[in-house]
Amino acid sequence: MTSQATRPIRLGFEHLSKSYPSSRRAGGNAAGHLVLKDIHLDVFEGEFLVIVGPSGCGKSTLLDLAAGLSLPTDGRIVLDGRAVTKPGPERSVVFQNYALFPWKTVFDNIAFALSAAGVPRRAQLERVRRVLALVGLEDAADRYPHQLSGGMKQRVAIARSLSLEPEVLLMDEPFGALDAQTREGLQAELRRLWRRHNMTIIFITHDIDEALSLGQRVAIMGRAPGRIVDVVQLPFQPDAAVDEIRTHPEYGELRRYIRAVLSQPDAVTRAVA
Amino acid sequence: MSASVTDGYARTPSSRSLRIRLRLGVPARVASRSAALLALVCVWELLSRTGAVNPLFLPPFSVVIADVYHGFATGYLVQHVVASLGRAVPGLFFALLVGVPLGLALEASRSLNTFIGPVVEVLRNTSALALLPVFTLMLGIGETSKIAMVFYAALWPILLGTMNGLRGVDPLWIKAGRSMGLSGGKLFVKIVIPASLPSIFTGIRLAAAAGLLVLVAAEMVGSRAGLGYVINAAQLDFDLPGMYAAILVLSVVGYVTNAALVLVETHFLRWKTS
Repeated sequence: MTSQATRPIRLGFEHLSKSYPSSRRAGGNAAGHLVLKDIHLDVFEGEFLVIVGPSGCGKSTLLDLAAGLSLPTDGRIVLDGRAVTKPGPERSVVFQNYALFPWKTVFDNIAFALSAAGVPRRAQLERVRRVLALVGLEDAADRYPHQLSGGMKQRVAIARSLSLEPEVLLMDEPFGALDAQTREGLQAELRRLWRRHNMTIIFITHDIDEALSLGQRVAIMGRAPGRIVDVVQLPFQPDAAVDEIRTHPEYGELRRYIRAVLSQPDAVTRAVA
Repeated sequence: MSASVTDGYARTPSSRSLRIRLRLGVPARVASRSAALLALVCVWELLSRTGAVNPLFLPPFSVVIADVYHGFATGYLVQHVVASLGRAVPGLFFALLVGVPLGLALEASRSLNTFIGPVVEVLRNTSALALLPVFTLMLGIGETSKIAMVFYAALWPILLGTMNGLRGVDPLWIKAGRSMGLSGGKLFVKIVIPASLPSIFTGIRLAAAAGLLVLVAAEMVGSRAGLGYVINAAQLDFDLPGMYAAILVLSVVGYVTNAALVLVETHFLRWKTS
């Protein structure tokens, strides 16, 4: 824990609140419907942080704020010391439903993001090739999304985000729509990519096992309003395989604890350090 | 990477049917597609030749096709096909020019939609054929009223196709575009328009069919040229082979128009079928 404190902060959520203007019919008060309440969380450089929470707790809203897709009602998000006010190529988002453009080939989907980020045409070819190789899809460059399986689509989406060489990778339940086997394969692949490229990743999920096998730290969110209930430091080695993590002596206890916090955020006392 | 090896390319029906088509080859494909047409022609010929249907009212196909040949050889039918196309193409073109931007505007602005929407709803449910006398009164019996008729009939499918296309744009694509730093005009040109194209193309094909339909009726009522005029005039002269010849040519014009539009469509929408 002490080494954590000295690591530089890449992205900071500073006392963040978000409320939507409420319609009177919905029974909201004058202040609006509060979605996120006083989120305060630092994400360190090169860290893999997983945010786990029940559906409807505002975790996707939190990611949208980090991406700059919407603005907080209160507080701010700071990236490398500067406040985030709009989207930028230094923060790239991977969505649950891939968000690939069906009218573009795999190659063009990635090149499109590079163009949007202002990467010159000449440099694009090489970069697209490189990231496709990274996710093992060199041969799929000329295919259209509808010709790919779900797992391949998500790998293309990840490649597209990686091609931008972002400082922070924001992942919004990226494996939620995949079957269990494909999901495990991609989890392992993502961990490998993270180790190799020293990326900062904020990963959102509602799956406790996914949270435990991917992250270094797990932030647990509560619902109504969305808030951080606890942040757990995981004891697993960064290069541990998923199977090693699952059989780790503390795994069961951590799993039980997170599950208890998720179901009753206010009644549980911390059992693990 | 073991998992990545096992999940292979998704098998799509289109790739399978492509393989079947490749195996059969082009001649087999043409044969299978024209078999039913050939049968139809044979039935027509037989009905007329055997007298099952009065040959005076339904001349044999061979007689009609000879008349088509004669019409093209003398240039008579060519002249009327050109006259009809000279009205259909500009009408369709203007409908495209107005329909797509109007559809975009109506979908983009809620206040414009509530304001103009009801007017659009009423007009689009007013048959173009019912308005034929109105167009003739306003614009005379010349080319302008015919082109205006085609325009009117073609406008609505294009307008609705455009609006439908815009409504079908997945918000996630917009979100993804925004997260890449695109906004406003770029988002519109690079994501909204390509995403709506399939629906716009469907609208264009429906518009072409509707335009031709209305044009023939308009030509029948008040014109001295065009395939509609030929059909009507031949019937009045009791030149039934000539009438059927014009009908046949009209069918072919409609078929070719649609085929040409499909060709353009598949070129632009390769991503849907390839």
